[in-house]
Amino acid sequence: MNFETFFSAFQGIQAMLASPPHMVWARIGLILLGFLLVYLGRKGVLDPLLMIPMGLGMSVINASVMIFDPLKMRTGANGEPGLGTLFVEAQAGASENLVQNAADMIYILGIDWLQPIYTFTFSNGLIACLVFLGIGALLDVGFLMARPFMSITIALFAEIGTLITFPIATLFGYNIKQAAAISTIGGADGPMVLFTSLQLAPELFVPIAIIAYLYLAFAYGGYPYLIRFMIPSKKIRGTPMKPDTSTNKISSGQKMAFAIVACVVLCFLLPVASPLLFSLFLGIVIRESGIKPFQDLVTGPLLYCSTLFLGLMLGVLCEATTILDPKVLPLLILGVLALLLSGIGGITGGYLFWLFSGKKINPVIGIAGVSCIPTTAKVAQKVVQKDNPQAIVMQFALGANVMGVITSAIIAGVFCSLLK
Amino acid sequence: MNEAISLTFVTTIITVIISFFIAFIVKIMTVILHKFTKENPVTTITGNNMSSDESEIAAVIAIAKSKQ
Repeated sequence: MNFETFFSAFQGIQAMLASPPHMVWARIGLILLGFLLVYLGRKGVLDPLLMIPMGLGMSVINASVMIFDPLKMRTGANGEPGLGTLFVEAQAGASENLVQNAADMIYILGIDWLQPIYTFTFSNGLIACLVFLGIGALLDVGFLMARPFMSITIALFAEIGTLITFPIATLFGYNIKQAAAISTIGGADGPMVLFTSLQLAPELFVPIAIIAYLYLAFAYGGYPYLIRFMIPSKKIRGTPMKPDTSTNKISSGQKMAFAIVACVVLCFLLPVASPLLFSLFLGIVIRESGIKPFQDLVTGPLLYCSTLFLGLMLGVLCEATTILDPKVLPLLILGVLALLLSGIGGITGGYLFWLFSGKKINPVIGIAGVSCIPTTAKVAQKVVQKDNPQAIVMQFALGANVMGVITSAIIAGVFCSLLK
Repeated sequence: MNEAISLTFVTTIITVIISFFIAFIVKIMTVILHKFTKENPVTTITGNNMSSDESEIAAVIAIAKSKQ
């Protein structure tokens, strides 16, 4: 028995030895990063719902590479079969030839075990809509309805990252559509980034989605530092706000009426983004309609199942070959830039309200304009409470937070309408 | 680059207009519906089906209400 026979029994080792050195190091790095994500998720530093399946998926996909490429095997490509896995083939069906596309897709669906989930829920944006449906069912639009103009102004300030990153991304060699898709990372809304990149830059949608979700997880750990840097005074950070009574006056009927009208108006204005907008507002309507079985379904099994598979798919798409693509490297810089600028924009908006309200509005709520709900609102509350345990800003922050989701959807819709 | 800057400008204007239009609709609806509805404010999600996020938010809001 020679070494070749021995290694053929352990295809993982054989594939590792057959890889170029930079790929070996990248794979080892991603396996370790996967461990780190699981650890940070378990510790509660990052969102465990997403990070535990994502981290595990990332580690496993980079460990289970073998000398195998189903598409090359089928088409009888020249030379040795390439490296591949039995999980998912993101580029399956990427050929210009429609007949070959369909044939490849059917063939791949029969081989890769996660391929049906990727093809039927991920690559068509369905999973983003399902997550948005769940998010909608958790949103209380009463916070937005109580203070619409303040919430909207803060949310618009927090979109600065998206708007500034868009032209900057073109300087890195991306075309207009790719730049727009990348810049939506600044909206800090995972499903939105996924949906927009799929519409505008399907060739980059996998790395954009991975980087967006990875950075979103880390951004929430970094935003408290940004708040403390931009608002160094403890006294200002702890500004108490008058307890809110207006939210209580808004009935569920009013919230439902708002959701229906806003949904129809936005879908009329931005039909390209209507699947996402409809999913979000349908969730809100389900919540306010009081139909408990629907609420339980949408906020329970549907949302958690979508989140589990979203995290898992993002993890298994983090193969070293995808991450080491030269087109992906500038994304690492642009993603940070977009989220940083959005955070700065949101806090600047908060500062303006603090100034114009006679220092009655806590500027920290500005960070909640960065839309990932309800994390940034919770970040705002935690930072404020640390400096002034008596100060409660959650209700005000949630208004900006809810509106942040809507403004991100509007920007995504405008991008898709103008560029698609 | 120039095309991207002009598109950013257009996107900003459209987004601001639509956002404030939505805010305007919210304000009008809140005022009009408030006149015609006598419904009690309802936000009914029982403890059993609350996510950890929701329960955390509810706890903070409950504290705020108790201070009113």
